[in-house]
Amino acid sequence: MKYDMSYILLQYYVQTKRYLGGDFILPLYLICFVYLMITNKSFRTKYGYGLLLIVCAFYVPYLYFPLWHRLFGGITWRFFWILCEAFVCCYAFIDLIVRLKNKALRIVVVLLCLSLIVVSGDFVYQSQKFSKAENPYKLLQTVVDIGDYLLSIDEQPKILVQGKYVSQYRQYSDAIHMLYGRDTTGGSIPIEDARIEQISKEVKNKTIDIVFVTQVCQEYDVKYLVVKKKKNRDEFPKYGWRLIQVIDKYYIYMRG
Amino acid sequence: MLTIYKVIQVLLWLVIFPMIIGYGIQKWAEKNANGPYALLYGTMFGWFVFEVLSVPAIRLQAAFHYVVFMWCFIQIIMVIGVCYCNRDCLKQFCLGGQIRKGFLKQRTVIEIVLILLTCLIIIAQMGMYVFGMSRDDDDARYVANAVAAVANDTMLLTNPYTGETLDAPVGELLKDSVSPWMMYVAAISKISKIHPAIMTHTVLPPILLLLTYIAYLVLANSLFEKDAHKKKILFLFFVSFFVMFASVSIYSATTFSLTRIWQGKSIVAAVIVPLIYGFVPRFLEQQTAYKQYAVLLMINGASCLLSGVGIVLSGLMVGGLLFTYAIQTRKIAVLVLGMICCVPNLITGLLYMSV
Repeated sequence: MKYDMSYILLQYYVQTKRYLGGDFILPLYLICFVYLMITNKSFRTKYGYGLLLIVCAFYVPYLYFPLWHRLFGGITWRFFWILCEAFVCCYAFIDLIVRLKNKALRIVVVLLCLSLIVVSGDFVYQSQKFSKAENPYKLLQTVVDIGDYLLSIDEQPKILVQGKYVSQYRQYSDAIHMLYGRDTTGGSIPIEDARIEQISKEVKNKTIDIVFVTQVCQEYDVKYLVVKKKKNRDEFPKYGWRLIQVIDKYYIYMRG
Repeated sequence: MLTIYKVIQVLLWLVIFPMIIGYGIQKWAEKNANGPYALLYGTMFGWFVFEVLSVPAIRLQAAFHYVVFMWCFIQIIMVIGVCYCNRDCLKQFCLGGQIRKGFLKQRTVIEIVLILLTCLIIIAQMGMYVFGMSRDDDDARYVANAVAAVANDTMLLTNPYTGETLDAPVGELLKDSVSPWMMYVAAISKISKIHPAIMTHTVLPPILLLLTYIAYLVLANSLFEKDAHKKKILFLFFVSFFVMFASVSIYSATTFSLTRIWQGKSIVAAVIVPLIYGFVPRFLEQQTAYKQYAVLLMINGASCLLSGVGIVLSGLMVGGLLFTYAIQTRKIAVLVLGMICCVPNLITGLLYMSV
């Protein structure tokens, strides 16, 4: 397949931007790299030429789709891990510091370098993804509680789950089977029945089409429904769903 | 009682055995040995052997316990072999603490402060892995694969998202069949009787983080002269600080190192990349250090276990660096030997592209 050059260049931009975010690490990295290439022969011969060669090969547009895109399975930003910013930046800082004769100046430059690191990036633990562990599994306690409850009443419960925790149940136990998991939101194991993707969206609604949900659950032998409070929950018993437990805002229904 | 058993098993298979095996490898390839390097080399050996055993076993749909048994058998044979061949030297190696005390006595106050600060930062980062949690949806496949392997005694024959039994690996499981890192995690879980999710999220990360800094130590030794301890210490201090504060995006290597190091691709970014940068430059001076090329082959093989990106990046880095060395030294042998070191990447790469 032939690709338009503008599309290839756009890919380069998107992948590079995605990796580097919006901070100053790229300029800092480039300054450090150029500095080491000019001043440090050992760096130049051991790493500089090799790194330049690899990066130049990556940026040959004609190789992007036939080679790099295929090799990295489409996720070409992972190529940038090769840059190893920590190594190049820290090495450049030390190279600069040891060239200084004045001891006091050295300490000042060390402190400046540390400040530069803090300014150019973000503190990794500030990420919203990071939180205090709720258990040694490092899964949400709600998932563990729901899992424990279901396993206490059924050896191999097959469940239909609403929400973002869908990817965690099978990390807790292989005995928990699911109608769908992360395959509806980002995994790449093909789902053959289009209704499953439809149902994964349906259960997120405040009022769910219980007829449709029941029909699919019957077909796939799903016995448990784990959803948040639904407006039409009074209709559920008519279709054979019985509320058996409520755990942390999640209503667990059993069919039959 | 069970907890003591678990702790002993984890220490044996993730620290002590790799250290003994690594000691043997280092003695054989480099004539001298030290604890951190031994742990790193031994771990690489374990990963390489697991890759060699598990990829064909997955293709043949062999039971998981066969691979675990064979891997343990090879590890134990290696441990016995190394202990027997180096029985005198190992005594000195175990007394390494005295050498370390001597090392500290020779350091200046600033150096000791820097060492303490670096250790503090690293311990804090390990603590964050033990007491903190970082959710990532990719674990829906990775951890569930390990959980299924332990529960069903099969490898990649369960849909990790639903639990459905499969006739053969499909979708991304095909990629995992070439780089089955999570099967290694499952093997350690099976041996130690620790739940794979706990093994993945709590037990392994501090050890992997330690390996990351050992890899940077290898790099520091390659960057600075042998006696430039102050520079090496300062380098490690800067690096430990840098990885914590220079998180530019959720995709950057530093973020991967500190938020989800248990995933194979993160280990490539955190351990393999600095290790190769630290290891390969020795071939610029010693073009025909054949035994060390064998160690490089082992490192490449180990990176193939981790992830598809490990197959590509390690091959690319070794190839790119050695190509420039061959030009600089005008010795084609460097390139030829480098290409031989990339044979594991080539084989697994072809398998990866074919799935």
